[in-house]
Amino acid sequence: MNHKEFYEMVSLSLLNELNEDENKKLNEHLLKCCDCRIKMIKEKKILLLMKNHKSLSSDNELIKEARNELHGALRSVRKNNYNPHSALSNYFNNILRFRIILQGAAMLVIGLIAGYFIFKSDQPVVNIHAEYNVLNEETAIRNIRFLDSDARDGQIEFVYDAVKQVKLKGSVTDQNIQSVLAYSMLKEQNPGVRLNSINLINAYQPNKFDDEVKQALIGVAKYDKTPGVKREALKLLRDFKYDKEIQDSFIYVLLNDTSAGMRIEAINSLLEVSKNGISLSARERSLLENKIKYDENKYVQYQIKSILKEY
Amino acid sequence: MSSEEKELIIKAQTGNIPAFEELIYKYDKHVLAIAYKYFRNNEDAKDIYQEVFVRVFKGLKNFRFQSEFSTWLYRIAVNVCISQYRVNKKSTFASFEQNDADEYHEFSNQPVANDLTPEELLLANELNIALETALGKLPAKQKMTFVLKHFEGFKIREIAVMMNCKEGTVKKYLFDGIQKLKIHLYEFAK
Repeated sequence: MNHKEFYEMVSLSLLNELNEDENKKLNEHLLKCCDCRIKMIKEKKILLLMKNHKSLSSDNELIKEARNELHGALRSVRKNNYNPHSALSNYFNNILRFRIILQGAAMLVIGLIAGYFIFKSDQPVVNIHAEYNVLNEETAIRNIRFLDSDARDGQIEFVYDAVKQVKLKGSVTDQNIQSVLAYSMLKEQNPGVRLNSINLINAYQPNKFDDEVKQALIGVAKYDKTPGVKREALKLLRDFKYDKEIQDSFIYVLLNDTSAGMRIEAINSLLEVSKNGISLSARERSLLENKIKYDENKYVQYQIKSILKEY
Repeated sequence: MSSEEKELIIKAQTGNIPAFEELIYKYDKHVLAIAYKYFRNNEDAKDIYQEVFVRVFKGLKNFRFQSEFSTWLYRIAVNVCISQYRVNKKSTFASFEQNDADEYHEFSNQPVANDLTPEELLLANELNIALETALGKLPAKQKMTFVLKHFEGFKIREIAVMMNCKEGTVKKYLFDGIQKLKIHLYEFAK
């Protein structure tokens, strides 16, 4: 090794980049070379000054703020980038992954339909009394189930769902509209519609909505299958008049939700409303303390400690 | 890469925001720390944070699992920091030259040990300012290698991957950076 290489090794040694052999060779060289020793001393002083300089460290408030802002930015990006064609092709790509299962299921369905048509017995046509004639333009019949399809006695029985389209327009504070929104949030199969219902309330003044809507939001926050919908419900509950029920829902999500993101959202909610004067009971404190031990997410563990301090 | 992380990436690639957030929450504190130590203020750090993760979100569909997700992510973070630093330097050079009192005030108020005498406290504050000044004068890539090595503790080979350059280049940045710091901190090192 030449002197230039040793000179470089001095800096690398101070950066802990040398292995044992290299350090040994360098130490042997330092015993003989004054220049390298001086360089070692000077650079050591500089690095010590830097070590003693309490380097800036970002605090938890900053990461929370950054995450919240990012959440909004991502939603905006997704909204701007929504392309129905790529969404559709993504949908079909996902479906094609399960093609073997789908093929099997398709064969089964075809077999069942074929079997039904081949083996069904001919039923006489039964005239429905005009009073019960619901085959009109406004009503659609779905999901017909035969309870008694044996017409030899002249009687048959079946049930069906009659779906009538209803158009409703009115003030957001109207009782009927709120009932429909509450129902939609809880029962609608399409998560986009559930989310839309929540966003509608968010766009207006949440504290003008009645208890039915609040209860629906609590139900969504706890039990909805779609994390995005759950999250929006959690966030919206912060804007309602804070009470024990809302606090219980936040705690429920924190203790039970399997998604770390949702637990973090519940923590954010609890921290935001901590100054509203509702304290935690001894049992709740004990549950949260237990959660610190068993939650796998360190950020969640840390933030639960913050909650216990705040309350 | 763990299978759990792979699963999250696949979900996030479909635009699933909760999966994406769960994925990035393992690394975002680190990214924010790098941005914060590089720019030395909250607002820039948050802007960089957002820029990095929006880019990651948009580019994730092109991620082919050919490297670790963390490597890919940190590379984006480093590139965004360096680009923004160069832009900032061009536009704020004048105000830096005018010795903006607020900027110095922020850095001089960094926490120091509580057991220092007033004289030691004054010296520590002056050191803070001198160090920040010295770091502020480093070129973008030198400063980045400095932050990654001295403040974040990455190894040289890791920094080389993140900065997409050779290890020799990283060493050169570090050595040159130390030489420049020696000049600025000569009085303190005596």
